[in-house]
Amino acid sequence: MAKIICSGIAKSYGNVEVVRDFNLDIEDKEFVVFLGPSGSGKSTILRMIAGLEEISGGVLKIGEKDVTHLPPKDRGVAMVFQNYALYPHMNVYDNIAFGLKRLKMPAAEIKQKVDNVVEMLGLQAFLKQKPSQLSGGQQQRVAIGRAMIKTPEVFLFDEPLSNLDAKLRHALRKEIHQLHKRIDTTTVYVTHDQSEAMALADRIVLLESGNIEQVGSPTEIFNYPRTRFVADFIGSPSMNFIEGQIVKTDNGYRFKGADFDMALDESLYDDLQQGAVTLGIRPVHMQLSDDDAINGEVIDLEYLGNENSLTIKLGGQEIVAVLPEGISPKVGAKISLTAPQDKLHLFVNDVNLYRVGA
Amino acid sequence: MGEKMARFLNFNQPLVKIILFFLVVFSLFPVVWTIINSFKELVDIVTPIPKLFFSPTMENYIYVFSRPKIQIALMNSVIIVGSALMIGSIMGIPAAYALAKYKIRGGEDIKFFVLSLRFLPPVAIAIPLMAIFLDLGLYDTKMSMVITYTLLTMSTIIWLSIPAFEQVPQSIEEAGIIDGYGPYAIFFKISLPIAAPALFGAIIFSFVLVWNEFLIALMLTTFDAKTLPIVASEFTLLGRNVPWGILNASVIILSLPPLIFLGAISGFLNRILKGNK
Ligand SMILES: Nc1ncnc2c1ncn2[C@@H]1O[C@H](COP(=O)(O)OP(=O)(O)OP(=O)(O)O)[C@@H](O)[C@H]1O
Ligand SMILES: [Mg+2]
Repeated sequence: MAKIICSGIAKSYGNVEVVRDFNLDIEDKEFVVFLGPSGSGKSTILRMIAGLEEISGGVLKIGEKDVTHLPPKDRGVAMVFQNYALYPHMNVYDNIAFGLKRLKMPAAEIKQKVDNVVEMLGLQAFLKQKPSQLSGGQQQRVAIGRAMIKTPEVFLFDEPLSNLDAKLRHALRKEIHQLHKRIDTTTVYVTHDQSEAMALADRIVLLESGNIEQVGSPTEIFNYPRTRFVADFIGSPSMNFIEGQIVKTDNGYRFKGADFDMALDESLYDDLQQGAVTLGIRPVHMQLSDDDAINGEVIDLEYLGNENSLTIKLGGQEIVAVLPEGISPKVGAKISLTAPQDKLHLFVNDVNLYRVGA
Repeated sequence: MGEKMARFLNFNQPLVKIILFFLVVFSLFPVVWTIINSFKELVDIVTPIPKLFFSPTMENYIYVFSRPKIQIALMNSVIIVGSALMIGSIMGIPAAYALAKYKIRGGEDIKFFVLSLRFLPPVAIAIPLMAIFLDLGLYDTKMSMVITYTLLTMSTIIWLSIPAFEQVPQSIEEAGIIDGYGPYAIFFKISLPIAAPALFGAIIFSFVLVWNEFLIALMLTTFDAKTLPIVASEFTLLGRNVPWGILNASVIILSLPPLIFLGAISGFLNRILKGNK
């Protein structure tokens, strides 16, 4: 069990700096997910924590100990890789036991530990099989077992579910979640799949080109995205962005444009000023309105079972609204929409104007 | 195009089967004929009408094996080829691993140099070596042949082992690092066993290469260090009365070791050509 402290960590390949001044404290027993688009530096930072990648600058502490330049075996870390990375020439038992054999542990003790882990992961039937005889999900379970057996201080996962099909991904995700609750090991988990991040994380670290865009719990990140990048990245279908003006009128601030005119609740924002602004609304937060807030024309309707996804033409752009099943206007019909005040996001220079804690 | 070809070459069609059958007979015939003749007496071989039924004799083999020249040559071949293979593997395999896994400065140049050794005509290697060995007083010794053949086996083994090690995924080695193992343990316990089948193929391949080697051996040996191919070829020089039976027997003795390994090699070539396991 250990805390991880990253202070000013940097990584350069030659002259190219891919991570600079990365600062993050990960609490003991916390499940932190690094989320971000491809090339944002998720793996690089994870591998620096693992000790597989040289740290070019800054200090890394695991459990109060400075491990910046220690090899992986002295860091108390275990890692699960995207492509499983099992030893193909060893059977399941030996794959899991391999790390313990180095420690010259008595065979009986190794066997007992392996049995424990194997039972926890439901791998009893496969002990004598080679990795190539197992399905992807089983292989990744073996890899998780190999990581667990060392009772590490820190668990590292680099996109462990990306090579699995959707159904298995979902099942194994649940297992990882429950496993973490049971063994309570500090975990850093890399993914580019936001739903995975939402489901697993105590805290999400959203990365973009080696920088932290935002750190927060899944609900914080979903409800209070600090920047337009975060707002766009999180949530599916993704947020609608509408360009317009903030105008001050006799009865308060309003958001105005060619096809829309909505009141704004001043108390929710830090610093409302007249001028250009981008309004962000999540499709799931859209509602029908009777007072002509946002007016558009339905150009497509997708039936999603318990709800309908409407594509609406609004001036020169298209927005999406997810509405209850009962509301199914004809294609071509005019429609008027709005959203609750506390679900509106106003971005000026790509920064959200919401008042923190509002 | 490829698909059409595949349909055309459907091995279950009777016509294709017949064609294949004749191709096999055609290409195997000389080999089979040689084997049969190696068990015949000379009179049975030189009859104008080929004899299909004859009383087989081991004479030719007994004669070949009882000749001191052959015995020495066989020993020479075994010692020289064996040593060259062993040294070539012990030095070549770790070298290939280093070239495949570590970014060594000039690594690409080393790879190319190793490759270029194999493209030089044998004479271009043999003449300077001949001069050097004469100077050192090593000419026509097993030692000089071992050194020369080690150059061949080592370069071949390096060249063929690099892809074998490149196919070992980096993350598997990293898993070993995370499991706490150092670079030597990673090499011996992870990479080497994973690459072993392909490495085995590389060793066999270079074995065949040096076992059959003729030109360099011809130039670097005169008496003491002659290898089997050289001595076997000399049977043809025994005069006008060519001892066909003996010749056939020595051909069989010479080809047997490479033939035995042919199966192993074909699996290996398949793997290389497909680019994966
Ligand atoms: N060995 C390397 N040499 C040079 N640049 C590298 C190297 N490894 C990674 N990079 C660069 O570092 C940046 C971050 O890469 P990284 O693999 O950490 O991204 P990632 O967030 O894990 O992406 P993905 O989701 O595709 O795995 C990328 O721009 C990449 O090009
Ligand atoms: Mg990655």
